[in-house]
Amino acid sequence: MSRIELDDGAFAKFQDDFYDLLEKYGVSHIDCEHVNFNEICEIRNKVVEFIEEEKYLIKNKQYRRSNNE
Amino acid sequence: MNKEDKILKTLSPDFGQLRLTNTMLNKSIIDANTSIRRFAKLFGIDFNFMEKGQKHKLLAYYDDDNSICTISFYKTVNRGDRRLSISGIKKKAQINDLIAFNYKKIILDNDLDQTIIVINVTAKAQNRKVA
Repeated sequence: MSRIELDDGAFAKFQDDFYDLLEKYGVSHIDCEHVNFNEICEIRNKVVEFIEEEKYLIKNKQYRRSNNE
Repeated sequence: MNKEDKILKTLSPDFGQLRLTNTMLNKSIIDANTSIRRFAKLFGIDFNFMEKGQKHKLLAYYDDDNSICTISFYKTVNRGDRRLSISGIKKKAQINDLIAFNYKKIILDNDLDQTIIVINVTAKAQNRKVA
């Protein structure tokens, strides 16, 4: 699946927001020593991948639409 | 004992180590684990006393070619996460490599000083050439 990658700044911002969200809903403070840190990173990466794929699809849809007009 | 462990055994007692993930290498987001934080303390950098957004830089060199690099220890602005960055690491390592920070004492102008050495333990163990 093609993707439009988040740049480094956007990724860092997303990561902060993602950790904050998990903590807001009860996950204990997240850092690399969190007991489930690897799982958290895997989930984070999956969500990022989804966003990047969506961005690609949206851009392509717009491109196709503007080409058809 | 595997080759990486054998190399780690030769290092100074309070060396720091981390295993590089894709995010660490390609997004330059490296969390400072316990061994890194303990290592930083040897050089007077204590994350416990750092403000959000604060950064400390140390000069180091890569052990394979003695090229100089900078290790930055910092707390992120928003969450205050404890992080570090290593200049040039992308050229010196690949995902899943074990990186160690070693130190050795040198005498500089009659003063005892400590210098930091960045070692790609995995590349060394595999006799793999890095840039």
